[in-house]
Amino acid sequence: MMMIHWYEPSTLTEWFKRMFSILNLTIIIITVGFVFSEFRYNWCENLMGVYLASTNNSRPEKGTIWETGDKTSKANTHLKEIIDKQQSTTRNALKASSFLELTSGVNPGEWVNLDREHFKKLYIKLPDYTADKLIPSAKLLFLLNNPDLDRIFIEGQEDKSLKIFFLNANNLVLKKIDLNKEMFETPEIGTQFVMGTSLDDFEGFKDRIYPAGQFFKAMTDLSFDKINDLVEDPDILLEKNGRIIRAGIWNETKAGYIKIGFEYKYKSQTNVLLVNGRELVVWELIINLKGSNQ
Amino acid sequence: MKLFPVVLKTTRFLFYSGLLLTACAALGLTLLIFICAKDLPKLPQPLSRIIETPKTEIFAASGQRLITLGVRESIPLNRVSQNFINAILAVEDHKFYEHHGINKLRTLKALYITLIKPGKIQGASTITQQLSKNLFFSFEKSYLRKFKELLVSLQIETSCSKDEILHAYINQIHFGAGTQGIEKASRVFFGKSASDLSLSEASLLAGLPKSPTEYNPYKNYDKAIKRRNIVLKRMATIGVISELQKNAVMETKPELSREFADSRTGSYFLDTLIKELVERYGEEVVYHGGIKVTATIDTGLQDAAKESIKNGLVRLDELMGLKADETIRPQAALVAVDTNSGAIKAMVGGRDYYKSEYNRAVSGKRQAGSGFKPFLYYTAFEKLNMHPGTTITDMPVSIPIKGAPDWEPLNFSKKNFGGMILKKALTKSINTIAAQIVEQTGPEAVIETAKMCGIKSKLHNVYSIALGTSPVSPLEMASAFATLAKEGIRHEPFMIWRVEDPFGRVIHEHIIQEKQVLDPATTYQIIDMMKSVIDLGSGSSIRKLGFKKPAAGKTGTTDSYNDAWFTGFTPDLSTSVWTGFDKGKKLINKNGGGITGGRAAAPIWAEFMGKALKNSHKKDFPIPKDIYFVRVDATTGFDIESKESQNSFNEINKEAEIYTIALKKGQVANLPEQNIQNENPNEGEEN
Repeated sequence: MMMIHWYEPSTLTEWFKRMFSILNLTIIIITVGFVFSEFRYNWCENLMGVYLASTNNSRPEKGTIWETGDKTSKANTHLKEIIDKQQSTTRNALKASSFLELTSGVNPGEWVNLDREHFKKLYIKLPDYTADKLIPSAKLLFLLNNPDLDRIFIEGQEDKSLKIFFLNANNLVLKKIDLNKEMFETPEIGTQFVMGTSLDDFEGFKDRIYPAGQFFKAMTDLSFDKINDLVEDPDILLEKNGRIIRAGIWNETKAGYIKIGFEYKYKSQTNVLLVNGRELVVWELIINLKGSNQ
Repeated sequence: MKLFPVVLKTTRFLFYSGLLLTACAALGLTLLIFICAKDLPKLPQPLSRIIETPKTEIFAASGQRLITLGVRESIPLNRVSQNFINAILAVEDHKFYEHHGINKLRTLKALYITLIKPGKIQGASTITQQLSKNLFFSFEKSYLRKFKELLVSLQIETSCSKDEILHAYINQIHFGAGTQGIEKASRVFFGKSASDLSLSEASLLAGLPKSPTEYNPYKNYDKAIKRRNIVLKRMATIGVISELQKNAVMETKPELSREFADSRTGSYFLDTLIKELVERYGEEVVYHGGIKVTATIDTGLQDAAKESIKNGLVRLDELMGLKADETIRPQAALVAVDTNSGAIKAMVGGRDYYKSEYNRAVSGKRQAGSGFKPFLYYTAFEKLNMHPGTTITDMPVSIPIKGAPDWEPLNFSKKNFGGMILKKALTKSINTIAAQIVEQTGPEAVIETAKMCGIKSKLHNVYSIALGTSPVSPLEMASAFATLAKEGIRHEPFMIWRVEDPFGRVIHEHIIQEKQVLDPATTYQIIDMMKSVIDLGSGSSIRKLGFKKPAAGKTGTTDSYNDAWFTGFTPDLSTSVWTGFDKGKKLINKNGGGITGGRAAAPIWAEFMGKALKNSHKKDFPIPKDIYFVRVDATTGFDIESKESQNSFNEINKEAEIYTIALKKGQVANLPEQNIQNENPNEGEEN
């Protein structure tokens, strides 16, 4: 048996009265109005759209199209890096006052165009020996005056050397020169006085140590010009205290020089003076020394 | 009477429960919006900003633009045919100008169908929603993704005008075949601008975005037409076209453009070039960087190459008696290299790019056959002191191989012809003589020569290398023969002259480096012998086909007729042509005989070179100063003009075959006395 609450309407009229009460009608009108106004004016969408637009700047740049945009910006960055590097190389090359500076300024994989006047300036500054080794001046003169020569293209190599291409207008290489950084470096040690040591302590002099008498005899067999040319600064030999007892010739050439060691005996101590000897003269000296041994 | 209160009570309960539920749902939805909003993608301003990608352009050496990569050219609405705008709106979202990003009734209907009718899914996305999905979201199917897409579309509607939305939509939408945006689609499918689309074309294009693969007109033309008709009906229903127009257009079938059958490059050369660019700069720079690339290709030569390959393969099909319905057909590849620089001027990698993108000109490694003999003869001249007039007997040979059966190569004709000079041996492509020579030089020396000339593939250290049993590519052959053409000066083959950034600043340029790798005089002797191949020997079909300019070359046919080659050159252009099947089939004519390089590849070469050099002057190979010419008997090698041999020669053989040979100063042709003194004239020569 169904229970009827005391507050429930007992008649149909009462039911209708309650159904169409002001409260109910208000709720229905508001609900229907809400739905219809939304369908008519899209205010819900507008509201959400406005809200989202207000948060737009704080939201992440993600999604397909932003990824494409990212790719474009990455491509631009990569290209900018290439161009920046290129411009920096060009600046370095234009600033270079020697080939040595040029080799330091053009890294592996980088390249630069050098005008012929600049190349000439750098070439003129080279010591004769190095210049000749790079390209004989007559040949360079011929090249620079060749009407086919369009430009000088310089490319950095993995081993820190440079390739210099003399190109015609069609990029055809008229002449290629390999330029090694070591060609322009002065010998590592230069003039150096090492106290409390002997020539035997230097591995590089092994089997090439001669008594002072034999060494100077072979040296005096050289022509006068060559004796003067043997070491860069001969006066330094006289400045050291003691007597030269032995001399040694290094087993390696660097940038047109070979190290020569002079062993001084001063009181009970031996000291070694290392100087740079010009390669071509030293080779002649070695021949003289070999001759004196026989 | 008792029933009525129950109904009323239930109604009341449902009404208030519904109100409560709706309120809860609205609250939940609001919360969800706030939560999702933080993670929604940012909308670019203006919307078209990130749709545009700078275009990378590749130009031919002569300046014509070959292709544009990565570009998404955004065209304004007023440059799009109204037919297309009407069609796309009719079929995708005819209430576009009325809704605010969401078509609520359609959404409710779709929701009802999706939820109530299992297995059926109804789409209700508006153009704005589609734009939102295409711009920011993946194609993952989830309710959350759909909700986020809806939110973004609401923001798009608030932030942009309807025209801005439509503009962005038609410029980024996918039409299939790799096309994105109406302008590109219009150009690819109909070869015209989007502003010129007819109603038939526009309605066909408007039907594609629903399923670009299924309705791809290149693959499923009839399906695409059915879909177009649906679009037309829809247009008629909403009143943008009349019934009469609809019926008239439904009778027509738009003609598709075949020039760019899809977004692929359509070019073996460009594929290889783009691959090289990507390796050098990465995909981002190539497809999104807007670089300008100047390629080496010559469009005139490339057209000639395509045409020659096409005609050559038609001839080959006929020769083989292939029927129209046979799908497996022989392939061909051609590469032409500028001998003065190494620049690749033309490249065709197969019969039809759209059926097979495999580039046989670069990646196809096939046995070169007798095409390798020039390297052998050069080696023999340098290492064994032989020359073109040296005589060797063509006879059956058996060369012992350690741990393997003896090598007994046969001539192509299976016959032997006795003694002959080496120039004739190369002209007639005598295998037994090549075998005798390689036995003396050793295969290593031949390999070394080939490598010096520019062959990069791994070559097998076996005697048969002399007969070209190691696979090489047409590009390698063209490049290596270019070294011969240039009297032993080698250039690396290349495809790119210059690369510039979007502002025209050079980021790469090719420097032509030359390397003298072969002796010029000896190389000239080889050239002279190879000229004879074209004038008198296995490549004589070239002269018969009307190519009269000075040229040298060599045919190549593998034993089993798997490969037929001709590689040859003039002083300025070296071209290699390969023909054969990709696998499993041989080049056999309809009578059952094998097809040689002279018949399959040489005619293609002749046609191409004829077209390529049509406007160039006749130019012969320069003769090195230490070369002189002697006329000799091809059998004995006797100098027929020397005083010593005049009498005896006339007595010996009045019918003799005479060859003019190129000798270096210090080399002399055989004389009858020498023959008398040496029982075997070869011994004197070879020592």
